[in-house]
Amino acid sequence: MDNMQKINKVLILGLGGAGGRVVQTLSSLPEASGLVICAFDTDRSALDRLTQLDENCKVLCDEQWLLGQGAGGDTMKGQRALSRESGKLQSLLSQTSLLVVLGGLGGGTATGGAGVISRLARTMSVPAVMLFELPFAFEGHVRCKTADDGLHGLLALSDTVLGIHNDLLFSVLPAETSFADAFRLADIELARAALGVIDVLLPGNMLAADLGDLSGILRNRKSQAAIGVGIGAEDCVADSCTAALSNLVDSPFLGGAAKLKEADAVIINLTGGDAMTLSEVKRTLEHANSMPGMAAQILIGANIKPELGTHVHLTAVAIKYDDRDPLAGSAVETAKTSVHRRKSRSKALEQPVQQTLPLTIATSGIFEGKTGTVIDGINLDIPTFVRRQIPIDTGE
Amino acid sequence: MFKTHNIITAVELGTSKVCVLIGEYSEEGLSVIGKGETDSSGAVVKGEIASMDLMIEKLIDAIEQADIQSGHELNNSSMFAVAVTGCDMDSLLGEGTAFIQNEERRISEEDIYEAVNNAKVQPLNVDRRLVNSFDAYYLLDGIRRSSQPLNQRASTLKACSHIIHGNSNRLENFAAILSDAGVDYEPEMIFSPVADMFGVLSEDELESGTLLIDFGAGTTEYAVVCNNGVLASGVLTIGFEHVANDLAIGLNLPIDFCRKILEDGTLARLTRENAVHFECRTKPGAVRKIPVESFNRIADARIREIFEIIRQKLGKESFWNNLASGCVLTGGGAEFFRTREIFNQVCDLPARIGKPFDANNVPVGLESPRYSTIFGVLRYAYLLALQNDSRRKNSLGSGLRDKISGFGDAFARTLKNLRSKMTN
Repeated sequence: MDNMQKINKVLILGLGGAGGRVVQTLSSLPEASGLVICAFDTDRSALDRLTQLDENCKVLCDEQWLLGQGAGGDTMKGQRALSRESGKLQSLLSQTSLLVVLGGLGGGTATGGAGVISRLARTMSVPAVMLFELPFAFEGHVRCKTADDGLHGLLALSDTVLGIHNDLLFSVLPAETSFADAFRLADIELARAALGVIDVLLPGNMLAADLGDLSGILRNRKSQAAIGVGIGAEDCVADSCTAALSNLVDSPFLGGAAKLKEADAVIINLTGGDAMTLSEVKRTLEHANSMPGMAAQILIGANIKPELGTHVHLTAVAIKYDDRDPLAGSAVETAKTSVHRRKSRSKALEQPVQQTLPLTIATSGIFEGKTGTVIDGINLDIPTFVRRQIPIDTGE
Repeated sequence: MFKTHNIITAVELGTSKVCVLIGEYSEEGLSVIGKGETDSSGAVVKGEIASMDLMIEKLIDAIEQADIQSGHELNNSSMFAVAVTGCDMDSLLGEGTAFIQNEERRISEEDIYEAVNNAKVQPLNVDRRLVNSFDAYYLLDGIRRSSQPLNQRASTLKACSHIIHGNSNRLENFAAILSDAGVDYEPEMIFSPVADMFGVLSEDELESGTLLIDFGAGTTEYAVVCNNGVLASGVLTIGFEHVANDLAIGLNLPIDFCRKILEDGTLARLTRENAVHFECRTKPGAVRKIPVESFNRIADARIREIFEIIRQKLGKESFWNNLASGCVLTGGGAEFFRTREIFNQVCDLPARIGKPFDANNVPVGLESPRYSTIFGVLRYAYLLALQNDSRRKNSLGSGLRDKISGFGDAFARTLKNLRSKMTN
């Protein structure tokens, strides 16, 4: 019995400023009841702003040295601050069966601290999923670089790291969306995504997709994730599934149906109330299944939660491997070792290793073959959105 | 015989259209008596003639249309003017000095001529050719800046002229095509944004400082107009065709379809109605839903970039503080519903859409930013022709003054600029 109770304990940990905000949003969602939620930050004022969170859940890290003034974008400070709180973290983790860490990479606290938490969770054999927002491109190169490096470092420490590009928000939200709304929406989406991931991973699923599957997909590979959550809330169950599907495709972080098409792996989970029938599950999942491309690895999960009633939650995590990043390195390594080991040389020759450049369509359409318009070495005949890498949903 | 002097013809060989206007002028002013227009359909790319054969076909077609409409007056034209753009157009600030030698050290008309002429004698490369020049301002004794130096006291007068020049071979194409089409005169050339200035700016805007942007199909030209002269100008060989092209590439649609929805207002209507998807049938049976947002994002990125480049180019020369009248956007691209808003966002200047105007009568069939350039060319030819006439009748100085008094002060300097062109 004790064991059962432990299994259902999920700890959601918001790290840093963005993490705190997401966690606060999460706590206000009705589905989050029964989850343990807490926020860790080095900035006292940021913590104070989280008025909806219980005081006990907020932890100001390393007050003694940082004086509650924040890590100021210094990842080393973030790392040290979280290390000093390892006692608190340990006691929290000891009662937990699944840890979900939420935060925004690019700053100090989350970027530096995530590694500490991840290491701690591993030594205590608590499964951990890390969900991180990656900064908007306009936040500047340094921040993006910090985030990128941070993500890179985490891969070695954790099996399941998901990075979600904030820029994806632009691809779906209409341009008139107010700035505040955009951020609020980003927080809600990330919170929903976290719940979706928990739905997938919680033991007791009818159709199982568990942490092993997830970490198998993500292990040691740098990847980008796009998470879409569709909620169907119609009176009629048949409608709610359809609504959930279309909501899923419109979900801001998913980046449109095109993103699903090009994903390397997709995790789809359907959670519904008691009223959900077999045919509904079959039809919805078949439909969702047909959205990713043929080569994609697909994990399917389905679950019943009586408290949902006629609501249906459909979660899709689209994962795209970042092949430009040689972290996996296995291919490169074989090539290196083959120089030393003559025997394996022929094998290496059979599989020539070629680094591929990222494929971008760089055509100038009707201006192909005409005198180019080149300013500062940039060919302006190539569409602006291609050069600036603005994601476009083509609706195909 | 007298009539022959009162007909003038303007020609624009644009990326989207070839247009010919025939005008008749009298003491009262200018009126348009004939208009011919044909689609360029690929004969012009980025403002320059790509196919001479196709172009000549289109041009003859347009000329005939205009000729018939005007009652066969074309051959009576005393002047042909043609708008030029592309051609690697560039500009420089030329300086020329005159020493005031009379006893009173009073600046006379002749001194101004001398300074202006000196300013125009600039070492251009052999492959460059002067297109237009404008007196930007004068410096008296090398320090005091003035726009009206006449009769002031100084020992030296320095004229600073804005000189627009382009690649001579490429410019020659414009003259050659007209002579191929049967025009016997050597045409007057005018840089497109300068023509726009005559076509769409009010007297107030000519005087107080305006940024003029002609967002055409193949090219985007800009000019900073101040004190009836041009302070800076340039051309960017990116135009509204690029927006259509970007859409075609990004959304995998035929380019003609993209041009159509941009021009006929479909996109504007969908955006106004807050439609989420644009449904199109590319294949029979299959309906494709393209988010309207995708169209707008691609178009916005391109238009924004064009304005950013212009802003950056002008920013180097710090003209932004001189733009009291804000900006006038014209050309076919100005009709697109997002253009002005994007301009406001990028440049933070008030903007209006410029259309051809006439103090007496708005020319029928030309009430669109598309016709700014061609109408400007006609007005330029008109002012030039007036100048010719007055020179023919009178001695230079007095005749000029008579004409000026008939026009109002605002055009005085413009005419002076034109005069300096003719003494060239």
